[in-house]
Amino acid sequence: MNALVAYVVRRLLALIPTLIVISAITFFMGFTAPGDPVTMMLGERAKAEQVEALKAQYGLDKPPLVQYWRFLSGAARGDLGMSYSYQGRPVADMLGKAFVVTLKLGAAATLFAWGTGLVLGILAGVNRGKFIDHLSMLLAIVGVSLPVFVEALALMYLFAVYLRWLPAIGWGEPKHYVLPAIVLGTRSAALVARITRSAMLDVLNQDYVRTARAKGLSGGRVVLKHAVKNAMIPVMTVLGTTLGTLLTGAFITEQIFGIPGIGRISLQSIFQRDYPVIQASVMLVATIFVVINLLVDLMYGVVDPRIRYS
Amino acid sequence: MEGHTLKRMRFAFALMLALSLFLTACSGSKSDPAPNNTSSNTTGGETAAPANQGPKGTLKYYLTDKPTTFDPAMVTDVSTNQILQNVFSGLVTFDTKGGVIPDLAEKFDVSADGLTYTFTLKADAKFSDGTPVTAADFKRSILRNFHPGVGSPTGVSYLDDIAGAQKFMAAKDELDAQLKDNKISEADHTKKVMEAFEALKNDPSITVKDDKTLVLVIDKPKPFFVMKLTYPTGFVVGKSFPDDAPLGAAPENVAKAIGAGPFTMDSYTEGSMVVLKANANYAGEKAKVATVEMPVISSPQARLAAYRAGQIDVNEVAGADYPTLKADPELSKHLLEWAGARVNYLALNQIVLEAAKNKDFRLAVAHAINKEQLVKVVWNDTHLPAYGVLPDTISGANGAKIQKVEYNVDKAKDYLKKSGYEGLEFTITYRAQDEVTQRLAEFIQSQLTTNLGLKVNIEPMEWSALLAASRQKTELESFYLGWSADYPDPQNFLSLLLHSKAPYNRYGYANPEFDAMVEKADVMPNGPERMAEYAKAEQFAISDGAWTPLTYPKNIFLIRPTVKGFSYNSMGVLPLNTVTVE
Repeated sequence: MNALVAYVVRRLLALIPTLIVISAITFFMGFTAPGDPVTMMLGERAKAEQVEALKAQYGLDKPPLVQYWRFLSGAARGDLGMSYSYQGRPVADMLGKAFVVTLKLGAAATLFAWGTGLVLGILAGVNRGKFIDHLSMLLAIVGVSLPVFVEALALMYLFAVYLRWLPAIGWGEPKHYVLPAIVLGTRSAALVARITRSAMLDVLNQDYVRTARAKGLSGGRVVLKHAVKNAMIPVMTVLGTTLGTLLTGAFITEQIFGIPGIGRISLQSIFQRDYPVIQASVMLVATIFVVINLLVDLMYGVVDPRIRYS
Repeated sequence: MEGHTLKRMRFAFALMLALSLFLTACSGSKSDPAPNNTSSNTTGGETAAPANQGPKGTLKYYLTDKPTTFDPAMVTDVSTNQILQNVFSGLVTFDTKGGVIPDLAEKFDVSADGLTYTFTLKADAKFSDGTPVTAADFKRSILRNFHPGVGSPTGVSYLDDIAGAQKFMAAKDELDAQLKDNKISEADHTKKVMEAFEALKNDPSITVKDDKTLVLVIDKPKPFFVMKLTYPTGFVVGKSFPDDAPLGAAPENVAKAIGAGPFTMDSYTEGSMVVLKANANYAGEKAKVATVEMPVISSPQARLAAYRAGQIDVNEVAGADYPTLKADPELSKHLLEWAGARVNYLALNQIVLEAAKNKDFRLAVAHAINKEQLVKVVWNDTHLPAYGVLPDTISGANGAKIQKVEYNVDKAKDYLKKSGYEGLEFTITYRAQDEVTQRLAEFIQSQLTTNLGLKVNIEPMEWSALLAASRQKTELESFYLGWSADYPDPQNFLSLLLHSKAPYNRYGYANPEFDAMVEKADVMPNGPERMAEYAKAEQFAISDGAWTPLTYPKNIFLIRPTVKGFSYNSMGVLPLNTVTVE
């Protein structure tokens, strides 16, 4: 147990230097890009003196190193600063609320992606060469090739406009989750299906499977007890990637369905040159990936008893 | 080999998944146009039961972006303005023809010298919480725009005609310069700015004569001053607004966003939905609809789908969708179009491009672009061709009477020859936005290349970069930009865009004759003579080829037939208090 705790703590501590480096790179990249939040706020109405005066007021005219230091010392204290584009809003508050939304959407999308992916993959692997195999793989190819935008609008028109079974846009109630979760999870579902199928095919050819069958175990028990569990180990590899993508790559889905998640906030902040929000978003995304990968590594230990943490 | 167990389990698994999806779907579906509770998981979001008489029904409106602020002193974007201009009110507002009419002030008098404005507030002017609106509230709200802690990006532009404000801004600019040169410390700077702000508070140009009388003194007899008070920076805000900080757009600030407009803010679900409710205490024309739901839908395609699905009852139409909608037997009946208050133009920058200084060259370019074809090919007729600086909706516009710089290839060629710049190569920079803007740039490029033999390069630039570059004035040879009216007065276009010292003159146009005309008109008392002077100035600028106006965008909306009483003006922000919903 101690080895496990030490392992987790070590991994989490390694996050800190990672975040510092990432924030530094992002910060100085922001400086090289033309434009600033004041110009974006005022748009066509931005006058030269007005922009300069406001930039001074918001502290944007200080040398980059000074500004970066201010940001870093604030972040160390847990204060991520105030947004420029959304005056009066603390960045931590904005991102926190958006992250909760993204978590919920990501969870729903993961459920869909893994539920559908695993089922299709297992069915395909067990019934290799049969119709269900071809159908599953066809669905997987379509799922991975269909652009998010097209799928979102197609589903929106089918279920919201014509059938009127679901709302087109909105957030908050369970009915709002369905279409976005499907759209967001489709590409991951396709990936999971294909990897599960391959893993199943591998495992079903193994000696221990033939042994189990020779012992007289029925086909169903063979599959569920032995094959699937062993197939899960390679499949887990993609769990980290899919979770990460589902939690951070939802920009188009959020944009179309009107969901206030971190995908939208982070991309919009880049367009608006809202530097504190850009910083915090990038750091949040980095943290998400590190934490998810840690969780996946821990899960390997659960699934495969051979793994130890030294 | 495969046992029945396996088949059954597979089937069960798949069925379970399908069922769970279906159940989630069916649990909350088919609840379209019912005006029931909204998903407001915010603090302080009570849903008051609508009165039996009085306002009823729910207007399902929309927002193109989430609100950037709840503070009238801070608003810069149209989407936020759409909310704030319905929740807050000011001394005056404008009517559908662009004229100034009383709002919370029942009348105002202007002194003979045009410098002193005396506003008398309506006796029943109240905030939404029932407390009376006083002149002191207005003074405080106006002054807030200048407080450094509030950091208003726009307050200065709309309120700096007030004499005391000018003094304050001069003092602050001086202190800012000193700080920049390190002549004073930051602490000293802050202290002295606050001293200047205190002086502003006591300045005689903003006086509260009594509870209902406010007196404002401006620096010159500018008649458009009262127009500028129709913008939110001049609106009155409740005592819950901090004096030294902006009120951010957050669910917990809904209860503090107290104004005196036709609606109150009922709830805000961050990033997703704003709900307004009718304000029974509004001193003007009270709202006829009880609730307004405004979901944030940034994607125009999703908005159209939401409209088709009955989730919203009003929608602005994107140019690309216009032909499809016009052809639709049902939806074409929902379309409503009216003229806007914006001009899109092509400017040749005299500071960078030598040829732009030559009037003949400018006129050659102006005569070489076929605007009638432009609005068809690029804009699907969602814009009108523009031949003047002022859209027709702005008084003082020459409109149809203008002596056009019309599309005439022969004239264009003549002017080009006279200018001596045949075969010139230059670059037009435009906003990298979408395929429509791309088509526009290519259209202009092909017109100038084909008709004049010029070598025109087109360069897309990201919005923020384009704004910064055009502001620099020394970077771009020519560019495509536009201007939307802040207030429906010709000064807002002619003086602010084309006067040689104008803040938005990014192309080096400098003509003393033109300057004299607008300087004169800016301080004439309002009336037909003033408008005639601006009309002269507009004609002059056009005939001089100051820049080439291209199009006036129209406002095109889809409005469900059950929504009536929609009052529209050219300004682009729509008052919702006259609307009824069946």
